[in-house]
Amino acid sequence: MPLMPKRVKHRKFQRGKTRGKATRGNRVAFGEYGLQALEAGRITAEQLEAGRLAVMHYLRREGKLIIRVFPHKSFTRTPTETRMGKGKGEVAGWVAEVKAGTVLYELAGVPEERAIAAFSRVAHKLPVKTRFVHRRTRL
Amino acid sequence: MEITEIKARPRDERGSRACSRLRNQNLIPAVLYGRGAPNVLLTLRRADVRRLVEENAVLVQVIWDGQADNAQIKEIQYDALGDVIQHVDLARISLTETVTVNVPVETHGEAAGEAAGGVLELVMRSIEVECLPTAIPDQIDVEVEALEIGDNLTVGELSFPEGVTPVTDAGTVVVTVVPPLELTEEEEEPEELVLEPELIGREVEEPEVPPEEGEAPPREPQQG
Repeated sequence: MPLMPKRVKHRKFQRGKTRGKATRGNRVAFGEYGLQALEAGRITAEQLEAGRLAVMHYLRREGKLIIRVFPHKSFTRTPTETRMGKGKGEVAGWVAEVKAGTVLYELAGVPEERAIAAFSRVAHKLPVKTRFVHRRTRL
Repeated sequence: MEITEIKARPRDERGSRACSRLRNQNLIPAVLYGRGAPNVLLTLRRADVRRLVEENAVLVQVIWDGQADNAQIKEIQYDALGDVIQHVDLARISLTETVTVNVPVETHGEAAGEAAGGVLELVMRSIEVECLPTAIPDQIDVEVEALEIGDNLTVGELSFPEGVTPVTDAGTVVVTVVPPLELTEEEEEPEELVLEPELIGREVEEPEVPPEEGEAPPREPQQG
């Protein structure tokens, strides 16, 4: 079951634009290694779940994975073969809007080589460019 | 802990545009403050600051304008992607008065719970301690070999070097061994598949009740 909010104020959203860089959620906070987005984009709940499963399958029962983003925003789709108009389409899924610099996933309790390999598998599932980052030890 | 020397130059310009110009020249704006003396705006060489970061330096001796001040690096600001150093905060200290610093935690050995399939989780990666600047430990060693799954170590159970007092609450958990994560792919789907979230503030729709005999049906609003 992909991620989605339990309660929302409005079912449908305007698309909007994602401007600027992340000024929060841009550091490795819970684990030792992270996967950081290098460009802005929308990550669907299914893509997030695919990334989680890719790590779980690679690491099996090793380590701890933390997902730092959540798909708060719905997107809609008009059915195929439908004439234009007749209002906004029905909700087709949920996305997490991320800015450049956002840390998407974190890993703890695994050696660095394993974390790099695991996140490399995740990066292939995501629609944004990413890179592997470390936690800062002191400053 | 060693005190690293760093050369600085005082600066007159302030503000984001002036600081941006400095950064383009491989200089980093910094500020030196504290202990009742006036604040001093400084510039540092980027290469010097990178060296401080690589050495994990905490204490520095700032040499500027023929003066030398001992200082603690309070903060290093980075850009949004975390690559480029933007600014350094330096707080004056006295070598004879205690300071409060964060010291990283280093675990040693393999926990017994790890061998049983558990995952060692570092809940706190650094502990706030109070000590003399010359007695700041490089790290706080934590022996985890005896920890089984579900066990944890608190700040109060750790041993600190002489003269080092933890500021963090003694009951705070530092290290724990958690059970391994299970693959949830094979989990059974819940009976009622929730496709849409609940709407906040939407009134619950009441089911329509057919009108009883002899009662007039509700009138349609008249169209004008």
